[in-house]
Amino acid sequence: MAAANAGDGAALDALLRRHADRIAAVCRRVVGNDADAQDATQEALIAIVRGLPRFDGRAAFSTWAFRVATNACLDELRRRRRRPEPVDDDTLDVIGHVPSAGAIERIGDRADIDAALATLPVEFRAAVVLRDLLGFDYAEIGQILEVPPGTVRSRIARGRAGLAAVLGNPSPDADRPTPRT
Amino acid sequence: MNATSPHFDDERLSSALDAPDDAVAAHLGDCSACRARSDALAEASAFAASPVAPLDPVLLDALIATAVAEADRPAEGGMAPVLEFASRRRRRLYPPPAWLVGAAAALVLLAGIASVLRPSSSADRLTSAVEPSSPAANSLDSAAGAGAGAGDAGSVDNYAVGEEMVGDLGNQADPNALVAAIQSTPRQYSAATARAAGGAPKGAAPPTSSTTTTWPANKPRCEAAARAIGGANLGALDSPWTVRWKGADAEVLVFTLTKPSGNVTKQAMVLRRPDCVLLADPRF
Repeated sequence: MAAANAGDGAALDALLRRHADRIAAVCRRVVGNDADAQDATQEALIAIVRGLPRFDGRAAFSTWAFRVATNACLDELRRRRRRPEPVDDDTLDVIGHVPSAGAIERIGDRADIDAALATLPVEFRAAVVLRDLLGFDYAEIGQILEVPPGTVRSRIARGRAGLAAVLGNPSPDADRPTPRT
Repeated sequence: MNATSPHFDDERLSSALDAPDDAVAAHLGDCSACRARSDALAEASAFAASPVAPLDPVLLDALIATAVAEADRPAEGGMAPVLEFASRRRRRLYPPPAWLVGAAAALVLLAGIASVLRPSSSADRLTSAVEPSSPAANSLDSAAGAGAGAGDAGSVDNYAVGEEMVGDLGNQADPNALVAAIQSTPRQYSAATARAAGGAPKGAAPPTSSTTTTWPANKPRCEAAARAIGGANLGALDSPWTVRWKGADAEVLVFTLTKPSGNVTKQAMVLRRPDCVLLADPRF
């Protein structure tokens, strides 16, 4: 990494290549489609290159890189929200959307991970993806998302509960109360 | 599990999937409800772990190459912070290449020589952009007069003879407000020229406020500098405008920007005249 930071193009290439696939994966799952994910991945890699001189080594490089990448993905989502898009009945809203019963049924039928994740608020989605897809622990996710580990734990639980509902397992609030604390 | 419920909540059951929790493990053996809920959360977790198809190697190479190329660029891009102009003067973010500085200096010199050889008012220069003695020219004359009255006339001396008059983007420090001003520029110009073409009598009120009217920059001077800053991703130059922003003469160049996905967006660059220093580069 020192070589990459010193301007060694080959070292920088190798450093990015080591993480690019996982960065692309998190972008793919967070933004929900290939085209925007490619844009987000590009922005993420550029942001890492630009931010490298400011990386102070207090966190692991991968943690820092994924913080940059996750922010790039969230920026891409915000840009997409500002862009007018054609309305498609089969397309679920991206952020903070509560799907209709019919939509849930369709998702369950085809097990569409993108559509299922799209039903989650983005902060839950990012936490679940970082944990379940990339395997970061709660402390690392807390550093990436810049929230306390307790918040990470809550977001992951609520994200998984949301996915469980989409998969046909709603929270059994009648016979098995689920207190928030 | 708490005083009101014999069951563990989702948060506890979920975290027990990620780290050993003896209390939960013991409870699951006796509680079918919690076991079912834990299984549902585990299924959701496995669902979220569905693998993502790897990037096409060619695309991956391109993405990395583009990012590595960024390391050679001198400053940050994207939605650059819109700084107060005074601080831009102190901190030169994008020093133009030496040849560009020389070219700009030569242009200024030529402008000075030409203005001596062919003295003309800012109104003369304005009318050169439209059909002489047409109603449009008359109306634009009025606009030029208003602009001169607002104190813009002196800034025109930076430019070559025959170049268009400048408008004003205001003093927006907020990037979104700047984007809105840039996006409205072509509409304002179109509306103004349409009104002018409608036959406004000579001496009538200007087509729009002198503080917001902008005129097309027929000869963008900073396109090369903008392309040097923006790199290969910049596509066609859609609309060049010469304006005033934060009291400085500037050129707004709006490029088509094609992203790796094929999505097309707009990259605007506001560059100070005449030295083509980048002041802001909002994307929209």
